[in-house]
Amino acid sequence: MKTIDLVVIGGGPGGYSAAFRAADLGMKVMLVERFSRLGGVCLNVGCIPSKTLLHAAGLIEDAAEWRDRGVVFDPPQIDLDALRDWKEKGVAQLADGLGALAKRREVEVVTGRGEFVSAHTLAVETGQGREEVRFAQAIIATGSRPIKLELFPDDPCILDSTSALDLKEIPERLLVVGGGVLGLELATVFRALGSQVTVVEALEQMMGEADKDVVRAYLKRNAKRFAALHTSTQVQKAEAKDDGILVQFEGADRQWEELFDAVLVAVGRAANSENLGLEDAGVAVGGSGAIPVNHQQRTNISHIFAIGDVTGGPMLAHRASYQGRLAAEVAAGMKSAYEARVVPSVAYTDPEVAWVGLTEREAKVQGIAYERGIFPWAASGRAVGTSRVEGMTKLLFDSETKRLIGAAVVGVHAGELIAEAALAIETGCEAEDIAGTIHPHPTFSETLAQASEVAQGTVTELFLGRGRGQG
Amino acid sequence: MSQEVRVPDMGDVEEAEVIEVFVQAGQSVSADEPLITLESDKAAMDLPSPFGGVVETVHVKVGDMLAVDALVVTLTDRPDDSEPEPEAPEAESTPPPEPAAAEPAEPVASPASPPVAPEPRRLGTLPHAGPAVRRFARELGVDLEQVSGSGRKGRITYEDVQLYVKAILTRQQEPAAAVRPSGPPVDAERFGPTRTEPLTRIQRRSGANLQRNWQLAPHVAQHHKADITELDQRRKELRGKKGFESLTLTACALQACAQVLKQFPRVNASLSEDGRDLIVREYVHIGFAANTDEGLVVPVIRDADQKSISVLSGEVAALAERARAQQLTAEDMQGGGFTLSNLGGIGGGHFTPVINLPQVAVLGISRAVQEPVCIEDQIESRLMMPLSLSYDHRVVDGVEGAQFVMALVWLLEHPDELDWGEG
Repeated sequence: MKTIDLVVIGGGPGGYSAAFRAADLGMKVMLVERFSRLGGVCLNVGCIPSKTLLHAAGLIEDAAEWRDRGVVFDPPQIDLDALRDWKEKGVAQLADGLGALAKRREVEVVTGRGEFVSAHTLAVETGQGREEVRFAQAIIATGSRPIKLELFPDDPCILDSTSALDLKEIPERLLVVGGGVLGLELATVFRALGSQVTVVEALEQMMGEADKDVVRAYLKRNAKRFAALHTSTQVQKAEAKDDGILVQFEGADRQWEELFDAVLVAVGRAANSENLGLEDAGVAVGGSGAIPVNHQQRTNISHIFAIGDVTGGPMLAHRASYQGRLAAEVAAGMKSAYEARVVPSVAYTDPEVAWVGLTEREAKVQGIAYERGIFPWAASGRAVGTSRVEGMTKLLFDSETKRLIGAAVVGVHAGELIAEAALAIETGCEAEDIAGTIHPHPTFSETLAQASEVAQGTVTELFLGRGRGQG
Repeated sequence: MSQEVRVPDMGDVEEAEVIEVFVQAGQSVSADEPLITLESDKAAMDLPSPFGGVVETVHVKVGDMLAVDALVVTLTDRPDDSEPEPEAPEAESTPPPEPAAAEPAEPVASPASPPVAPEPRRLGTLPHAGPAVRRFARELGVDLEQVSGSGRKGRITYEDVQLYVKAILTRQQEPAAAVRPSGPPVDAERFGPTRTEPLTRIQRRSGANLQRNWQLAPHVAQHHKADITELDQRRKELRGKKGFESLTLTACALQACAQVLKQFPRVNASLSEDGRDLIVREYVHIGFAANTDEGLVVPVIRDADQKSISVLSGEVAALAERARAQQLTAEDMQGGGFTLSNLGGIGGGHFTPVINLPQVAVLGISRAVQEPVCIEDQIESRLMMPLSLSYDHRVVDGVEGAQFVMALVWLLEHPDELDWGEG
């Protein structure tokens, strides 16, 4: 039986990061991926292709908006095949790059399904048959999959995030079930491509985790762009009819029915911990299917690690790759541990919504006194020039230690801007540190410095009253 | 407005003990008035108030060990600050409730070894250190909560983590001596009346150092005698003359030692911290033991190889005087590569001096006495001075130890070869 130092199951961003880092640390590594391409959901059917489509959506929106400002294009013609090809091309290019990186590192990539036979043996089911390998250590990086809701019929018109990104056609009337980050991102894409999009969310607020004012800033631009945005509303029933899917809703004070050409279910993701032989390896699984791990990503079987979505939320690629590299280092004998204090979240909507650290709601629940600095983008020269004044930058500072503990940005490029806040939190910056760092003008990034100045009372781009900010 | 008084830079002294506190809360002090006295294992010093004011809070008490930058007292500018600052209401005092139900904890299936994520701490109050320093601390097993940061606003740097580890390592070595310094406990009272007299601070400190040095260094003592008849004659002739007002045998011996140390650089060396290398000094700084009422101190003469006996005798007298007056600074007692201990003023023969680590050798000299000596078959009365060289056998072998002593004796017996610094 073949013997290897480390087997990594799953070739997504967490898995390949783990395999590559381990190989760089001198381990003999096998990477088992069920699809022929590396990159996992993120690269193949998630983050990357959806961003290609969101970029296209942005172009369409911009072209339409600038009509009144003296830049007039003909209405766009969407060649769906060409767009899909372009998206596929980008994905293929990145996946090929990963394959080449694996080769150069001498990581053995096996296309097949891995299943534990024991705590030190993995069976790999490939096209050629079944082979068993003996491993010293293993990293489970099998990710997650969209949750299916039983109330929806098994019908080609019922989509999940994966099939939606296949982009077979643009439905005229689309219902998105789930007003979280993923649901709103896909709603953004389809709206721009021409669908009339309705979003239904069971909670009382879209993007439930974000603060109310943040969501309000997002809705400023979006409330009227969608066919409807229903909150505090449940889907009671969905039936496939000849002319579409008939959906029955129950809101706070009414019930109604509506017909859609397609329904996209985006209510969350479930950990892929089944059919992995975890019982045979002795690896414990939590109630929701997620594998519990310690601060070194070890499962209860200490030489078997788990990383990324399969360990539960937040299910984000950047968390997975951090954990993957970490697990590889621990497996290689380094004294690493999960040291990150915050994981940024980004909704690639239009405008983007990004946050990191504590929200105001969390701070209040935890009884943490904080000071807040909000800079509205209406006062940002760059935002005005770009005609994107709906944005806002909000920073929260601990009242006692003065350090940044949370940030939220709504606006174009919010996903890029939030990285500065994440760095500031990790390095313990105070408002003075951020405000005292000269930011380039005119940029959107300035709004972080200006929000810090608001918290300090030293801002000059707004007028908050005299006699403030004297230290 | 209140201002903080902190421990200033103390040279290479890292920690000092508070041995006296002169002020209490509410007391007025003027600028330069001493606030506390600090004593390191090298010296005692007063910490003067940097400005006048009223003591608001005293943050230290006798016995505290203070590092550089430790908070000593808080002073209020004006004696009558009419606005006593009310205690800020403890807005934070309510314990934060359990982390919200946003992330329900995973029930763990197997009771065998449930991996549990560490309890999350409040984000804004975590140790002030960036990811790189946090990682470095983890590698060394350092709890950053215990490290005080030297950076802006208490930010913890790489160096802070290194210094913390160093301090712990040093501390671990020292208390070994302090566990039970007396050996097996015996109740002496049972056998007759006793009384308890405290050791002086210098004695307590040097006791711990002596024990450490004795245990760490394998001592070998090489004994011999030097015929100093001529040397002493010359000394007596010069003594009292200009430039030789306080000419002692110590100064002569220091000159001889300095010359011999140049010939035997390994004796003027130290082991590296890991014991794998020899750190050889390219300078000759020699400490000499000086007795004071409080105990023994060892001031250091710098560049002794470049100084004549005349110069050395002046420096020895000045340092000894300051030692007796307890005015030596930490700097006066640093940097020695070799030590001389002269018991000649008291009497007695050979003894075994204890090496002052990390030095590798120490020379003890005793009272010279007239003895019958056989010179070319004739018995003569000569002035003979006993010498005892203790050396660290890990660094100096027996041959080198004997050669060193022979070279030293030869020099003492040929006083013309010494640099007297006459005229």
